This record gives sequence, structure tokens and C-alpha cells, in this order.
Amino acid sequence: MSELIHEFGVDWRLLLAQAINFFVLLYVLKRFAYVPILNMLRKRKGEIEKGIRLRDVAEENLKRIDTLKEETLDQAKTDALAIVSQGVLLAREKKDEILAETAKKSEGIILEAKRMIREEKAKMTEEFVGDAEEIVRLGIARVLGKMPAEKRDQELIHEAMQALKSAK
Amino acid sequence: MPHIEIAAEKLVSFFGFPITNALLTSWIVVGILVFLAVLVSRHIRLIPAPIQNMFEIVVEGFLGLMEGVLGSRKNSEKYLPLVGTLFLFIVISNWLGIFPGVGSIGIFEGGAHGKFVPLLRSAASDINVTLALATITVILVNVSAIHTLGVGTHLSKYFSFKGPIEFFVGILEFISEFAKIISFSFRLFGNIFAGEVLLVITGFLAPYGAPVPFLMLEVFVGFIQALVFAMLTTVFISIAVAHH
Repeated sequence: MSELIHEFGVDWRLLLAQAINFFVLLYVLKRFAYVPILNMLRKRKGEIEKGIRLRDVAEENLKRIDTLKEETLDQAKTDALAIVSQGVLLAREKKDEILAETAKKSEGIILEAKRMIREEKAKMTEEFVGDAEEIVRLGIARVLGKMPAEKRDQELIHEAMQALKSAK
Repeated sequence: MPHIEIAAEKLVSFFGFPITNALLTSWIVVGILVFLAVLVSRHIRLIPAPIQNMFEIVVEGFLGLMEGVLGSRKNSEKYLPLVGTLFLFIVISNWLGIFPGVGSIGIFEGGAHGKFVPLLRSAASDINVTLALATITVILVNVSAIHTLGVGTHLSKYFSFKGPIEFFVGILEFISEFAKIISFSFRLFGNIFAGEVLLVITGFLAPYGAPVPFLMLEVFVGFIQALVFAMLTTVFISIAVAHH
């Protein structure tokens, strides 16, 4: 047995040295590699899980936002249509109102114009009668060769012209 | 013909303490892993850098494998330091053993015609390393069982007085703990030492090209042996901490 141990070179001092070697390595690897790496793996796992959870929440929120957007757009469309319809209605009312007012105004203008024409006409007739009296008087005087008695003839002519005017 | 030594060769003595080439390789392996671990811990980020990514792949891979055996993520995380360190130490020392210069650079004891002593040697090709790892593993497995089940329950597996059959089975269980140490240490030592011998022989017989397939085989064997050691440890833990 001792020959076998000698042949294989078994030495308790070397055994002890190798054991110490291994324990030093075990301590250093545990302290500097395994524990930090396991902590980091746990932390990363936590971060990934958190990321996945947040992604789910974000997806859920996105879905809700999409639904809300659709609803808002639908509501906006409905509102816009209502506003346009109301606008059209108001515009029609306004148009009718403006047209009625315009018609009323134009009627007034026409009446005013007619009144002015009538007045103008009356004035012109008055002037015409005055002028015609003079012309007639001058014409008679020319025909008779002398001027008629001014006052009497003028009254006659005037009556004749008035009769003519009223006959008109 | 190259000389093949089963035992690791002594390089120097430090106050009577022998420093062998396998011990030197072990220190280098520990140094590499400590350096990487410190580097990772200083630059640990939520979005990992390449070295952190490499460690995370190893950790996640092991946790997945252990979860299949231990049944829960919590237990896997609890025993990850032991199992992961065993795997990393063995796999790095196995792969370092086939690096150019390891086993081929050394000194001649007693002049140019003396015995050639390589400066470095694959750590697992020294029985002291595998025996130390196996002993630590079996002790820690039993400590875990005591921690989980309690001293009385755990010792009752080995020393049962319920009947002659239970007593005999208990004694067998007790002996099997030592058998585990032997099988654990000699399996790893045998595989890695045989690989070293194979590489030396092929390198001696046909140095150009012939060792390449064997080197690739050794890369695979180195990984598999580390995985076997780590997974067997996980299985022993799961058996030891189970309630009967």
C-alpha cells in the first residue's frame, strides 16, 4: 500500500495545498462571480418582467386610446354634421330675411321714386301750363295783331288751361 | 523514448514543502479564474460585456442542468458555487494541459543527459489534485446533508440499528462514501493521465500531424470529465439531502 502511495506520489502536504487552492478559488469565485452574476440575473429577470408588464399596460392603454379616438372622431363627425345642418338652416333663414328686407326696401324705393316722379310731373305740368298760357297769349296777340287786355285774357287763358289740365 | 512519471515531478522545495509542476499548474489555473472573476465583478452590467456573457452562459447552463437533478432553482443556486467551481477548475486545468509548452518546456535534472522535468503538467494528471477534489466533494456533500437533514437523521443512514439488514446496508453506505472518493479521484486522474500519455506517445512516434486528432479528442475528454465530475457531485448532493 505504501509502495502504491509512493508510486502515485500521494503526499498529504500536496493534498492540503490543493485543498487550500480549491477553497481559495471557491471563495473568490463565490464572492466575485457567482453572487454578483446571480444577483444580476435576478435583477435582469425582474427588469424583463417589469418591461413585459409595462408593455401589456401600454398595449392596453393604446387600445383604450384607439377606442377613445374612434369615439371622439365619431362624436366630432356627428357634431360637425349638426353644426353644418344648423348653419344651413340659419343661412336659409338669414337669406329669407335678407330677401324680405330687400324686397321691402326696393318697394319703398320704388314708391319713393314714383312719388318723386309724380311730384316732378306735377311740377313740370305746372311749369308747362304757365309757359303754355304765355305762348297762347302771345299767339293770340300775334293773330289779332295787338295785345289783348292783359288781365281779362290772361284769366280766360288760365281757366282754359286749367280746364285742359283737369281734363287730362 | 520519453520518460513517463505517474507522480507529479518536484520542481523545488520551499522550507521542506515540495512544489510540483502540477501544483504550479493549479496555481496558474486559480490565478486565471481569479483574474477573470475579479474582471467580471468590476464590469458587471445589466447589458453584459463579453466576459460577463461567458460567465453567465456557464452559470445559466449549470443552473439548468442542476435544476434537472436537484428539482428546484433555489437548491441549484445554493449548490452552484461548489459544482461550478469544480467544473471550471477541472475544465481549465484539463485544457491548459494540452497547451503548447505544457509538458514540453522544462529542465534537465543533473545536466543535459539527466532526467527531463517539465515545468508544467496538467493538474488533474496528479493524483493529489483529484484526491483533494474528491475528498472535499464527499465531505461537503455530507456537510450539506447534515445541514439539511440534521446530524441524527444523516448518521442514521450509516449506522442503523433497526435490524441486521439495515445495519449491514448502513455499513455498506458508509464504505461507499470512501469508494466515492476513490472512484471520483481515479476516474479523473486515469482519464487525464491516459490522455497525457497518449499525446506523448503519438508525439514521439509521429510528431507531425498525428497528435492533432488526439489533441481534439483531449479537448473533448477534458470537457466531458469536468462535466462528469460536476454532475456526479450534483447527483450525490441530491441523494444526500433527500428525505427518506
